[in-house]
Amino acid sequence: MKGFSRAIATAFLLLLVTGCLPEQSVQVRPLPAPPAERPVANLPPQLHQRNWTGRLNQGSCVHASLVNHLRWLNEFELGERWRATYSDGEWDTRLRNRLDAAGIDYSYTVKADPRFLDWANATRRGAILWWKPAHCCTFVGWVERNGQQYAAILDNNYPGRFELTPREQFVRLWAGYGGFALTVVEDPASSLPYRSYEVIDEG
Amino acid sequence: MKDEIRIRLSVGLIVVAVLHAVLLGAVFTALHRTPKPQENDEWRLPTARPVPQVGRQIEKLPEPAQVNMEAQGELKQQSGYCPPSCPPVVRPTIRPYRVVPARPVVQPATPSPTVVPAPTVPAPIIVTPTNSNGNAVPQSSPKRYQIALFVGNDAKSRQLLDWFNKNAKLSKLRKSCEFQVYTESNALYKTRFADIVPASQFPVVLFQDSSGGHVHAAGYTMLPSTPAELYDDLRYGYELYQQTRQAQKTGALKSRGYSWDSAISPTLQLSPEDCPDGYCPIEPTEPTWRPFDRDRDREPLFDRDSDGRNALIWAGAGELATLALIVVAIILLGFILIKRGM
Repeated sequence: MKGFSRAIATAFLLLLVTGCLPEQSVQVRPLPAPPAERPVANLPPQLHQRNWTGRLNQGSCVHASLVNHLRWLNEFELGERWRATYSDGEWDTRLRNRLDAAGIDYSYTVKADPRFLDWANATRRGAILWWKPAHCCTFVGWVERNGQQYAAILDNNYPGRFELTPREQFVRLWAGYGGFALTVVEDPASSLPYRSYEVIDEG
Repeated sequence: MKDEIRIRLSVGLIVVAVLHAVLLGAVFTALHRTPKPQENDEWRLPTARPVPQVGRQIEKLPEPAQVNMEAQGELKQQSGYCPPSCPPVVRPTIRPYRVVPARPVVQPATPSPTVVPAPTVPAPIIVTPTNSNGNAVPQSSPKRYQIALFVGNDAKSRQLLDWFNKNAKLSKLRKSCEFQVYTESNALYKTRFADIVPASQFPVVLFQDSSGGHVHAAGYTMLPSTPAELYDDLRYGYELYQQTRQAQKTGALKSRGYSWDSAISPTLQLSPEDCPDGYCPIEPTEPTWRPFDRDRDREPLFDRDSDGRNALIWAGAGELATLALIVVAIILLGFILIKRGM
């Protein structure tokens, strides 16, 4: 009889220390994903900043590239302030000094290291870089085409389009132009949403 | 005597059954209680923030000290920067390739124009950017999830922003994800999201994976009234999303065309000869899970028990009901045995 009482007491005790989990009665299934957005930093053409002439009658390609980059990072106000503050020619050390002065976090390379661009592509941020003689453009990501990888470039002299150059050639030329690239370390624009799953059975 | 016991037992059974039914009903009601969407009659459609007027005064950024503008001009002329009027696409004059040392080399302010035979560089391929709304997915990024808030000027929107700034759990979640806030006047919103997330639904919380696949989306009336409820909703969406991923990972779900062959094919190994200029192309990355892969990116976004509740055993509602029935059965059995004088 004692054993029976103990068993009942144990059963009650077990019941007391039992937590209730929410029911998982909802069944879901994944929906097919649409094709990938290319390039990853797909700044809409309406937002492409064109190069402008500064007070010294020089092109402002570095600043235009940075403004494009900042726009993709949803930093519009910062981009406008940068545009209002700086113009004319620029070089990497002074650009970094100016970014430091503005309290902007960034990452950069001066070694034409393609892994930097891989990272800029993987994080969907893109970068600005020395591209074409005495010119600066915005790198908007790698693009696969016919089994080959191309660098997609937004040239601020030709807004509204991207220029594709095969990867190996691009890296070679980039090294020749100085090998500088810089990325502002902020979250990029959100991806275009799509419905990834649906509920198939509830209840 | 026996009849009396039977009657008593029957009455007792009925009482216990009624009690049991009431308790079960209470448990299931508590479990299935869903918060009703908060209809706010005072809420009005968010008005767009005033668009900055053309030519308005923009606050300048703090500039570094000691900028010699004259020297800048001189350097600029030497470096041969092209103003926009110059023909921008030219056949580039390439300097000899430099061996890049391990130490970072600072680009000289005055690059010396070295004359070398100009190699023929094929013109780049020109593509026009397209914004294929709803049909595009970007590649994966180190942060595996994204949160986008679409807000207006209303109180609910401000409250939503406050939640993500001040609530500990939501703030932690925000830091684990790529986080962006869009308003109706935001240029990126207008060009990328206006068709997908209509302003009439603001405020909206969009929780998605790195490719844009939605994990949880709630807007306007579907938003809960407390940050804790929103966090729970996000966690629930995450669990459903994980459920689909588990099915894909284990191959239990065939709808995505899971290929065993492609999953176990060896990764391409590159030899130095394959790497032009010493730069190896990136090894192909297989985003899909392979059998026996470690779950390296599966660090959960949400704690398993986020409410701080503790229990020795966790059971579902059905399991709890079974346990309760067993206990009732044991009690009844005991009662009968005691009455029989055992």
